[in-house]
Amino acid sequence: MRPPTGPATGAVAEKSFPILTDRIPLIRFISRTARSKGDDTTKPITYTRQEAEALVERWADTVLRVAYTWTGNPQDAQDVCQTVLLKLLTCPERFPDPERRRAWVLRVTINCCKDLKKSAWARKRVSLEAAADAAVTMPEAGESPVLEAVLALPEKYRQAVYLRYYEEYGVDEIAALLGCRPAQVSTWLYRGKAKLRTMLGGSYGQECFSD
Amino acid sequence: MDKNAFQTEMNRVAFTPAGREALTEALMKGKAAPARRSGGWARRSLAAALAAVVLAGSALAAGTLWERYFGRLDETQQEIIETLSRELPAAESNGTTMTPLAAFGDQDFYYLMLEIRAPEGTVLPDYGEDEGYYQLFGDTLEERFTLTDSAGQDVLCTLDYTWLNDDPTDNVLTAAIRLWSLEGTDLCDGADKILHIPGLWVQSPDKIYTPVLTGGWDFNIGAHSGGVESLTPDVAGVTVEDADCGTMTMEYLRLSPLGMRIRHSWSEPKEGIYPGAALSVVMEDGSEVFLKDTVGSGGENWNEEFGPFEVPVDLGKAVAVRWGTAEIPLR
Repeated sequence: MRPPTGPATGAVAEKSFPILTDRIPLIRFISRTARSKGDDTTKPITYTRQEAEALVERWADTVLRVAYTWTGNPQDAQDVCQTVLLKLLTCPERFPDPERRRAWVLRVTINCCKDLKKSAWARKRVSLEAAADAAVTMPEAGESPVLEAVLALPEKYRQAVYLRYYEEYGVDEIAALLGCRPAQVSTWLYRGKAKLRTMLGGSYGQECFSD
Repeated sequence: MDKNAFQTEMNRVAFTPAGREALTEALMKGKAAPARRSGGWARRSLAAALAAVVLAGSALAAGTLWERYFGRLDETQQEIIETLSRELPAAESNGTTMTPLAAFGDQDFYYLMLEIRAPEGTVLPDYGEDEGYYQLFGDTLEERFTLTDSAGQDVLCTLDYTWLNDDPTDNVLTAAIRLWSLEGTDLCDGADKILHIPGLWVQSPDKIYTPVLTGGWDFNIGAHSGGVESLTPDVAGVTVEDADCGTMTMEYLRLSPLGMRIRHSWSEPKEGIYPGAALSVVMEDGSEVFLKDTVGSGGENWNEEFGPFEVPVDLGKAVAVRWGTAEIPLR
């Protein structure tokens, strides 16, 4: 199954949804009025606590890391994580293999990070603030020089480097995830690595991100 | 230091056990939360018998009525709606009457304007977006909105609906409901299809559902529908070249005044790329009509999607369907 393709009315809409999943029908919901703008004007899908726990166990850290790389903010990353896991719990998709599922999760996470800026989004979250302080572990300053250098990269470089050297995706796969051309990804990786070499110094940076 | 240094350091970013627990709790609290897509309706047998019914509603003024939903409709558009309209009987449960004011549909879509009249003395206020909004389902399996066939099997659909302006001080609400048939089931083939509404809830911004009206209201939308003429133009040989995936071939196209469905395939599948082309109906005056939104499914080298027009379209004035660089004549 694939994400909704958007209006079948233009190349822009089609290209904006790289398809990473298999072939079960997808559903798009459209709300038309202020009062029906709630996310779940469609039917809710119930799930058990065990299912939620299993999902948290499998995906929470993965999503957290992607979101942290994208947002640079642990609290935002946690919120994105909650949203993505809710989507997973209510998602009807089935996947032919774990790789496709992983790609779908990453794609949804990336989209959620983009959505983070939308004001309506924040209003509809269930807050994790009460547990925010103790919710995640983060390296102390100076403890993780490579991670700190990556997080200091410009956004596109940072995202490409993360997907290449943490998730170990190929250039074409990264292009599909980010909705851009492979050549752009190659450029971001090249320039990002150059900056990392400068930041990390000599062979240190070279070895950290060699292919 | 090897290249895994980055992975090793990144792996330190993780949820604590307490964080996982908090996240699980939040997920359980938010279990009706974000679902821009729905998984369709849960498999569920029709449990309630048809409620007592009272014949009500009229298709005579259907076109005008639907301006509350579509906005201004010209005479032709109103005629289209009235042609597709059928009467549906009202249903009553626990003192609340739900009356179809108007209903029409085609193979893929069904529109139902429903008046909900609670017992006298009840007030159904307008909560506004910040305080909560009405939903026609609750948050448990038993409180689901379903469509089932005569054998009690679910017809896979999704829905969206719009609450129309009503007096916030009285006991009446009106909803415009639109059903989408997801698996190709013809919603207007004349066969029984029971739409079951379990009640009315108010959903707070933090996704807490509070029941307002509960019971069971059933509407046989299938039996009261008639066949709708659709156009299925010959698409043999219709192709469009795609920069990434070679030749795209249109395999199926169907239009009705309410929407369009298309299926196409491509010759050179590439992982992660699902090509398509702009799709529109070209009218006599040269204008183009696009779909408002679509729902789709797809595989490695094929895609099928369908969607409604923003307002009904007079296909009598349509001359072609444009798909990328290809044009399929309708006359």
